[in-house]
Amino acid sequence: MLKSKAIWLGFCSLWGIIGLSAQDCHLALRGHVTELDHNEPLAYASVFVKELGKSTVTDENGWFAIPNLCEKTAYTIEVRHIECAHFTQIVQLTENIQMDFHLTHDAILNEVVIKEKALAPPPTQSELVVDRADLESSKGLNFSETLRKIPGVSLLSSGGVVAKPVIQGLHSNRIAIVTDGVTLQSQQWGNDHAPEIDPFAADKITVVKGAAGVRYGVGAMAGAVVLEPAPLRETPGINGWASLGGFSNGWGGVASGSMDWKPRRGNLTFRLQGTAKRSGNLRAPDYWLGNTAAREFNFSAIADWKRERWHHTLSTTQFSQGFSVLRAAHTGSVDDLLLAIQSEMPRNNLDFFTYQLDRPRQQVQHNVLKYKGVYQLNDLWKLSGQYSFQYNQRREYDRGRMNTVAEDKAQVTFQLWSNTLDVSLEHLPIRHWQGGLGVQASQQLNYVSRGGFIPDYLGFGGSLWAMERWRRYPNPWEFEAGARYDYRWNHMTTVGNGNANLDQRLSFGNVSGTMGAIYHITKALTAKLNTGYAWRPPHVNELFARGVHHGAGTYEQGNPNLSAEKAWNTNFSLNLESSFVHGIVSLYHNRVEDFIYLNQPRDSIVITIRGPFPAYFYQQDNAVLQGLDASFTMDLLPKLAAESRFSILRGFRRAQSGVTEGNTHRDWLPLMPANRYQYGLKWTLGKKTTYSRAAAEKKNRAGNAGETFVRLLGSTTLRQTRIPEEGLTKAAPATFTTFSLDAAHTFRFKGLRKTGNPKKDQLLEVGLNIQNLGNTRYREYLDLFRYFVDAPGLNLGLRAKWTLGN
Amino acid sequence: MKNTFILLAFGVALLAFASCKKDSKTAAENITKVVLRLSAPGFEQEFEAKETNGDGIWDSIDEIILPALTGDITCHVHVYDETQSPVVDLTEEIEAESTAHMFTFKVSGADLAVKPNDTDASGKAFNLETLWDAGDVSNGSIQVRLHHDPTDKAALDPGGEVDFDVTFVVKIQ
Repeated sequence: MLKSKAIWLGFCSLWGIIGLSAQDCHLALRGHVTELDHNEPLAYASVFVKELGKSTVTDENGWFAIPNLCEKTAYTIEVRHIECAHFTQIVQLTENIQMDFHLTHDAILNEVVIKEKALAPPPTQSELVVDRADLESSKGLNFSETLRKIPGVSLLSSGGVVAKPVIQGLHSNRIAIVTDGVTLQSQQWGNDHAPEIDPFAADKITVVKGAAGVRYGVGAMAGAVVLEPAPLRETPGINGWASLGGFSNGWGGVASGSMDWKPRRGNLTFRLQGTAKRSGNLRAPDYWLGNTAAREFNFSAIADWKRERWHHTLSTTQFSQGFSVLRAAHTGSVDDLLLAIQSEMPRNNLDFFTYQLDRPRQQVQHNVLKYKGVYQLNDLWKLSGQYSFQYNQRREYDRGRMNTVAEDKAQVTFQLWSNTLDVSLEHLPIRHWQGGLGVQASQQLNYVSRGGFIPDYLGFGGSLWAMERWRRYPNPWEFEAGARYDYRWNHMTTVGNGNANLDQRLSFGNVSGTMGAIYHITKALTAKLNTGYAWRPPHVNELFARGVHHGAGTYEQGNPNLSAEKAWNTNFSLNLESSFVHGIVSLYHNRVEDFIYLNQPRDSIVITIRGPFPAYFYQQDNAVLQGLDASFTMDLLPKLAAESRFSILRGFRRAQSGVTEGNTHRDWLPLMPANRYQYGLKWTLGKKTTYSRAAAEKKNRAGNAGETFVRLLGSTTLRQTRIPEEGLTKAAPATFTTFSLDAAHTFRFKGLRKTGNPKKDQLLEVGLNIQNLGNTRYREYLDLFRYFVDAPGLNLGLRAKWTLGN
Repeated sequence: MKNTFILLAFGVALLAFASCKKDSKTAAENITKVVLRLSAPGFEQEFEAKETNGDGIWDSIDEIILPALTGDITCHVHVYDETQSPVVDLTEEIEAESTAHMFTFKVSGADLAVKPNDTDASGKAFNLETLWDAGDVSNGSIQVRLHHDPTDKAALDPGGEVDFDVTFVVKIQ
């Protein structure tokens, strides 16, 4: 790896010495040569550029780099390796390119597969990719758990079943969750509504922190979580994987599988993927968490067709989940609620194990249908169109008297239909500028049953965006600028909801912008600065909610006079990538004008039909969220690495002082994540872990190149002392520390039929994951059920993933 | 041929989604009206609490005015779901499932005694029908609750789930 980096960085320095000629001969070809069957890197393969008479050899990890290639000039690249077929390819570059060369053994067949992609420019914002080991070990848990280890990301949860990501203190409608290019449109406004995502369908998860509105729309004011499926196979054949997992806490089991098929003839490729999951009541260290069972069934299918200049993709996914809501969190009166909050042990708890889903429970379904068509206009320009349809249904079953007719009916049903059309025109570098522009049109219809406490609404939206990026090696600077205009129109009506006879039309429109720069200080050290303006209109629930939110056990009331939130987000990050240290430090400052939040004036109670409920009201103030996220990994010994991550956040609002208009003072915002520190040791057996972005990406993409490791990780979350002056219904939980242990190993088996073809080899990856190793009793500030119960205790997970075909 | 396949797949997927219909506005049962029917020789009156707009908060609660020192008045509770058409009277069903239900009455301020006048199928408290004994002239309130699946019918607070909870103002004149 050292050598590969040296080569890569070496040619960068070389450019610096030579300088730029009049002709634009500043491009570089970076390649990775692997053996097709096992995806093993081929070291010391010779790479020869015929036209230049230049040659190089791959390093021990199969990497090579050829600098100083000219734009739009044909080069013949010959790759030779003693054990493999000789291979020649003509390339013509328009940008720095990374190519994968998969060579086959001479004896088998004379085949070579090339995958080529322009090196995607890293964003100027702080961005982190979920480590593959973390991604694999957390599969089977909920989606948000996969993001937990990333500094700056915390979870807003309702017990151990429902959790949603919080990026630098912000969540729900301020974060876009983008799966395979489709932004999730669901009932994300609810604190107890988790994203409808199957982590098994994702091969790579990236968290973009900071205002990402230009790229992902008004929903991405605070960042985005971007999920990408594994690339489809390029050669005819079948491959796939099957995964089984078991968890001791809740005696849960999960089975998932995926199969890709590319017929010998034609240009079509197919994928089918599915996941089934079941778990029973979870257990805190001292008792069962009664009524916390869950079931899930997910399915996805992709059909992909490529021919000449066209690339079509049609995909569909279905997410279906049922889960029960902690019985101890369901109280009948304010007296009960206060008693439950004061009690150390949960009241009305069903302290036994069962897989039964009892009321209160929720049933969620989310369907996505997507079509994307890309037409390559020429070498530089491509035109893309994407249409997506989404249907979201959430049924909330409360504990209530049931007559025979309504026995299995939900108290509240939310249904949301979304249609989105995106058209974009993108180009590869033209005079070193790369980017594109696009338009988006969207339509939404939300339909709520009686008692749903938010109105029905019909919405239309339109957006225009443009984004460009400048970079020219060896210039150490890179620049990015983008702008977007969004318009939203909503018609809100009410039938049988608290806002009797509501019939209101509201529209909002505003611009978003982003500017960023990257400066490569040294070969290993890069600085990034990004500043962006983003906004979002108030959501319908923030404007017109009125009623009992059964899922949360609260009474919520909106404020029709709310204006749009506007945020100016600036972040600065330093990335260090040396051979033995890898580190990222991000500093951010997010100034939010008219920040909307749900506030509970102390002892505010509303008497409902079913008794008194704590009342929450939407309000807005100017707010500031600022902090520091950092992550470091350092090799202590060749096989032993130490890692550390921490997140520090300060979130406050300008609160009104007294009755005089304009007199404000600083007050801490409610529900802001407490400071958190993670520290650990990772012992890698076999291949040494690499940390460069490209190598990590490669490793993440490889899918079957699992490493063998053991990792012990500690996590300390401090007590949140920065609480609103109004106080909390229950004091913030004490500082706590938990430990987790991860281990994984990959076995390789010869094909079942002894064909002699290593292509038929099968891989079995087995893993062990233990959470809350010490079975520690603790409660988290951002857990909405912390009032009633402790967080789940020890959870031992075992998993096996069988990969077949290649 | 390939284009046909894609179109076919697209059509199948659309059909699959076409099955997503709008749900009926009628969801689970909603208790929206509670009526206390008070009767005694020479005294027959109804007092009601109503929820009309779906926000889960009582929109109107009658004031209960009782004559002083009249002896026992029989109180019969009636429970309705007015969101359904026709309106559903839930009282009979509650009575049929008497062991799983219990009404409680809590008087504050007013000189009023409430005594059980029925039992459930297993002989335990039910209180669909009670006897009210109004004493001297006084003002106060009475909280009426319907519990289902009560944990202990003999306890002051029988526990379980509260289906409705309403407090009437009581004036004894």
